[in-house]
Amino acid sequence: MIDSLFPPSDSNITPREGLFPDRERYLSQILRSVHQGNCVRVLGPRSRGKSQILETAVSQLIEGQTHHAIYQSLKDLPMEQAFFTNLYRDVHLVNEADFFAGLFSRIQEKLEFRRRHARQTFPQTAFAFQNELLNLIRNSNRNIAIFIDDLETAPPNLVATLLGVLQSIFMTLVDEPGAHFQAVVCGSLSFSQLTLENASHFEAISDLVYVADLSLNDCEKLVESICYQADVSYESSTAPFLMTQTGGDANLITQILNLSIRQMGNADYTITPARLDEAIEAFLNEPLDKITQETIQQIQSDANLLSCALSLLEQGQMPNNQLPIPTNETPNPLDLCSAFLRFEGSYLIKCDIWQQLLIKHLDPAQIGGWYAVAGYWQESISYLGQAVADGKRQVLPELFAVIINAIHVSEESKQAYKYLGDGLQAAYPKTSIQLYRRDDQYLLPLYHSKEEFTTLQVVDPIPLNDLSRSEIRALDGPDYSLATVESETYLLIPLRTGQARSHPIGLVVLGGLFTIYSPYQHRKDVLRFVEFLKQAARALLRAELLKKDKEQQEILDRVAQITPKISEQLNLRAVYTAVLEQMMQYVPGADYGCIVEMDKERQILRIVSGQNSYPIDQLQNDDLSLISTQERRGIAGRTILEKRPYLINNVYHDPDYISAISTTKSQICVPIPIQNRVGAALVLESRATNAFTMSDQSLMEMVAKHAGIAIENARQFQDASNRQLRERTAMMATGLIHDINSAVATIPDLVDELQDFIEQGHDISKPLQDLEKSAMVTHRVSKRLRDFVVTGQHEIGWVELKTLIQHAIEISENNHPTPVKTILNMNGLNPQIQVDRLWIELLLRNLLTNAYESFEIEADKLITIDVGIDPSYYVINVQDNGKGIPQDIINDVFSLGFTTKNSNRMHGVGLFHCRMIAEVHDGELTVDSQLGEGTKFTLKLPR
Amino acid sequence: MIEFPVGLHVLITREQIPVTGPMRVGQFNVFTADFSAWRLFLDKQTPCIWITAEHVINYDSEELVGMLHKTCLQEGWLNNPLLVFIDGRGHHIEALLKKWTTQFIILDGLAQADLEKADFPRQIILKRAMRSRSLVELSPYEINKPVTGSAFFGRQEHIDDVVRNPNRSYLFVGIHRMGKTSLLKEMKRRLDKADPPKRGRVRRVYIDCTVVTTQDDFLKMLMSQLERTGFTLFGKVNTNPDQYMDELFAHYYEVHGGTITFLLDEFDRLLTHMRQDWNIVQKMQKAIANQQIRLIAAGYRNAIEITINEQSPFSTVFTPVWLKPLSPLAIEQLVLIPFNQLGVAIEEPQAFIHKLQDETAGMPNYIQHYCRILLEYAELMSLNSLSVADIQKVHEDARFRGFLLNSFMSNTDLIEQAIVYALVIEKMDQIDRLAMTTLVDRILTERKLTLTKEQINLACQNLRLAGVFTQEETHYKFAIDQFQKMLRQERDVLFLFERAREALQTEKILA
Repeated sequence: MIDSLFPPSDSNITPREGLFPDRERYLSQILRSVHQGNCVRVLGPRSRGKSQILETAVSQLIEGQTHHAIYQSLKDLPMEQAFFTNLYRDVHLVNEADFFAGLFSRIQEKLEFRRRHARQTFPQTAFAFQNELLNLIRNSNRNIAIFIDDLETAPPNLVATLLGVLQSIFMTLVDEPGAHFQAVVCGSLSFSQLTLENASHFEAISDLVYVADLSLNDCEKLVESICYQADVSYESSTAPFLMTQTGGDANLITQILNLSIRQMGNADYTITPARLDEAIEAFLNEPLDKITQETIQQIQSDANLLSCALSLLEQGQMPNNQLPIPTNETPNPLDLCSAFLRFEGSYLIKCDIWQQLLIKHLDPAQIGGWYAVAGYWQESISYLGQAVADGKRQVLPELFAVIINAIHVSEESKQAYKYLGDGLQAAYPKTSIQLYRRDDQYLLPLYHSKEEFTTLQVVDPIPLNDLSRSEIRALDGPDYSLATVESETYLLIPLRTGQARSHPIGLVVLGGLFTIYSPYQHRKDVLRFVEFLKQAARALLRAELLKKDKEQQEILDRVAQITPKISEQLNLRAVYTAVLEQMMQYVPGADYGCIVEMDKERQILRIVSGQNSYPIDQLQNDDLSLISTQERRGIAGRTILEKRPYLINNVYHDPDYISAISTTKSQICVPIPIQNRVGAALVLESRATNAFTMSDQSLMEMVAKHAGIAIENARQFQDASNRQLRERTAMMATGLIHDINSAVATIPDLVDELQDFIEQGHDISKPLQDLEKSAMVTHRVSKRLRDFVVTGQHEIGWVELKTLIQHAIEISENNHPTPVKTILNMNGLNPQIQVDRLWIELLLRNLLTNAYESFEIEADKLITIDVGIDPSYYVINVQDNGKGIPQDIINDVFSLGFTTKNSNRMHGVGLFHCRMIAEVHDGELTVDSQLGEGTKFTLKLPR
Repeated sequence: MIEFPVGLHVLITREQIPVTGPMRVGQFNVFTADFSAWRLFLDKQTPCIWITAEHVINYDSEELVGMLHKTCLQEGWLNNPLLVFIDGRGHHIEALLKKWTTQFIILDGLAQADLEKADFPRQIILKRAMRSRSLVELSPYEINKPVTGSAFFGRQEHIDDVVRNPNRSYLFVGIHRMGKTSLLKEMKRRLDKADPPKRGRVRRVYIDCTVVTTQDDFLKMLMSQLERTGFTLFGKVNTNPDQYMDELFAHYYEVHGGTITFLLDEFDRLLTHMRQDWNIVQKMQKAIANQQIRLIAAGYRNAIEITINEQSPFSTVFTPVWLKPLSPLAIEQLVLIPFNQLGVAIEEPQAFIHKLQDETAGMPNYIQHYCRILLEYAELMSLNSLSVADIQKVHEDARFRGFLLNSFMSNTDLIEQAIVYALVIEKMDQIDRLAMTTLVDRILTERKLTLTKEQINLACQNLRLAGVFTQEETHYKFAIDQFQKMLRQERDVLFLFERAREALQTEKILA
């Protein structure tokens, strides 16, 4: 029915005998593949004689008797009527059962050897079709080749399934003895349009034959054929002329030649280039033939093709990689559309006729409409605007609808305002346009026309309280107002989502009024325009809410990813590190990061974490982690004191800023609440100004809350660990008491022994020595017990490391009057460390005592204490040149109760306790020793 | 004393070609020659038809061609090449045959005399074959269909494993075009050879699961080949499935005389449609436990899923095997032997193989593409040797570029494509392994695509499995050196990224 609206198709191009000479090439490619046992996909734009090539191949295979071969076009299946006729090609309405039953019946009908045993019931599913076809082939005495044409005329889901079936049959039979199977499929559709996987699998098993346009040779044969059938003569230049004009497009050649012949009527003329020129002109002005019309429909209905066509119209030739080709598959939709030609990595419009056809049939109003259908809003606005500029003001309602739709689908409000601005500019090209968005304090300019349209160049936000500005007055005014600025009159319309006096979300300012393009020609126009802007305002508000929702959702997603990484840490320092690592990763603008604590009494800020991510180079302080806030609070200090975040786009404009890193330009700082108190802040810095966004701030605030909980947890865990340690200490103390008791218990016996010795007049030096030894042991153990009791008052604080070590040396030296030279190398360092002073001192004293006790000879007793630094720790090496520890026991020295001193089992408690103290401080204590050369204990305490 | 055509005798004695026969087929004596050692297009069972002087005297060329034609149709010899030895002149016969098919290699009296005189007789055969075939067509390189027998290279360890463990079920996991179908077909062949089924019995069944969507389809598919020899359980199961499904596999085990091996190709598709209420799966599990059947399946994404998903009914059935890229040694065999046979020498073979491995990441299908294009180039330019520099020709070949991009599309999903496009836009050739997720996240976020770390990690892993990335010591890089360049040259990558991003946003909203 619809076909009758168009002239009959002349697409069946056949030469007088057989195929055109150069089409033979494709024929032999197909036959060669089939003979080699391969499947083939023959693809190319319409009207290139593909069907004839397939039919010839089938005849030749049948003739050669190697194959049972059949040709079947999908458009010739017994199907319901065509539907979607406005798509670029009619697609037939058919269900799976009819499709496969119909196809099988045709195949069976055409296979000579089956005719006698033909089944009368046909497979209704793809699977049944496959089984029936497999059986049929297995019973064949020859290979079977099925040629299926016009793939694009069947519904794509069925085509994809069919390709899957063909591939499956091929794969099943390929190594079976007996008859094999080859499928040759043909069409003008890109396989990327069949989104199911089946299609791509058929690609993998088939050779591609891409059928190109006619060569000159073929064109000559076509001219000869048409002229022979019409019984007209032609000049020898006809074919070369047509080649130049059509680029070898067989349909165009046929249409133009036939038109030229019709123009001649019964006159006995010869076809010449001049007559063909007349025919071309007529062709361009007459209603289009079906194939050309379908090709143009194909371009219009596919936004990517449309976009390519417009780019090529504008630029002539364009490289592949600058065209919006939506797939990587070859051939792509551009290759399969008759209007284009691929030439050495570029595309161009095939010929001048196609150029003119596209210009004529792709007018701005239509293009704008088609782009709108495809959701290409910017392009749609632009082309509809062109149509308006060309005087087609009837497209204005369409343009307004496009603007509203564009705003509705905007992902962010800036984009939405741009659509509104561009849209209004397109609708009223000679009018200047300013758009403002309102926030808490300002009217923010988001869009303004190019300078050529306006004298009003507002770039700064207008404070809402500046009532001297007509924009501010208009905001709370009626639906629209007029104002004159520098002798120009402006129309100001608040962007309200509801009735007058409802809260406006922004303002539209139009200048350059009183032109034929202005909306202010009649009051009713203005009212209509105000109504449109209300719809636009609703859409803008929605875009804004959507954006906020989206941002919030993204932040929540991120927080959900970050928090487990922070929460899994039980160690305070690890919590800090995890927080900073995550923030540095998720806030793209951040170059440096740290966590800052505030000591309000001492008026200092301390950078408690961030050494790796925070390369301080500015603080004039011995300890680079300390910031004095006596003069200025610092942004972090302000954040902690005011308990609110600060996003500073340029730190040098902030009077509170204290520079720690010279390259920092912008900073973002949020408070870390710990048990409802704020004593710390999370700080990120950037080398660029304006590096951070409100989204970054929101993310940081959420993470800071989690960080606060994690810090609290880590502290509690640390307390619990300490309690555990105290319990263990108490246990050890009990052991020590037991040891004292043991030592003391021997004293009465020794005294008795001594008395006996004295009474008997024996030498008492031996029992006296034993008594003295017991007394010494008792002294030493009780001293340690006192230490434990003292250190039971566990308290972490900031301590100067040098002072701590010096104190330990002093006490040790006092307790060991033997001359030992002790050297302390601080190596220019004197850090403040956060430790329990008494415990660490006890640890150091234990190490020193061990060193003292390691010396066997009098000379050259040397203890060296060396302080160093690595990325995470302060490193304190205590090295002696004593007798050393044998390698076979070195691993046991930290074990509870271990001792090398046989006379006294108390010695082992020392090193076990020392390592425990180190671990409680998140540090390490290790030993390295060479027998006869000395021992080195290494204590690492976190920075 | 067996009489041979002169030329065939030369091949037996001087090329050590194993030959069996003759048997009388139609009017001719036919030998079967095993050319598998040549590693070219001629296979293990190449028919050699002998047209004797008597035939030449008694029949004219048309009649002889008619007889040949009839014989070949009868015997189903139309799918592989065959040799025709003619004791006399064969020019006319060759011309007539050529019109019909290119399967025949004619060795007439003159050619056979040449064979006798030649230092390298196989060169004479190849020259003859080249009258109707190109160099590529003489090679074993197939890109559009599975290969078995002498054309099958590598994967020996997997085949040995399957043959040695007759009751174990295997799941071969590999990307699209990794050679899974060829492997299954070759396994079927080798299993049948190692433990031949008795006449009329079937022990190994190859099943392509592409269009299997229901349990009924699957059942029919399993049974279709086992029923071909006349067993009729199929009809009964069809009418009363519950009663017969229990005894199904035991029945086939009995009638076919041993464990039945089902080789399931396109297993991913089957898994897509498989539902929990498919009783057949439980029956199969039981039959596998009873050693009545075993499964050898091949797939990719869904197959990976069942190896890690404990809920899957197949999770305990299979021994999973990852199909890895070919080793340098396998590549060497795949390339050097056939090239040498075809008279195309490779200069600096080690460097050549190294470069090939580097550029193809050891993917069999890529290597075969390279080999085909290089052979075409050698033939076009009449070259007797190829060097490393000639590999450049492959990059210029439009078919290869198309193949590379198509393979990428078919082996990756939207997230993976988006990641690759983003990296290509950023011109990042290699990425630090440890920082991979962070880096990818950053560049995607900058382009307004938010993915979870888990999604990014999984996608990067899949890209490695898909052969898009390769893992080096400290970083990932694109496996195929040329890939990025080609993508940039051929497509507007920014546009492709935007399309992928839009599609992913939609998925996210729907989720």
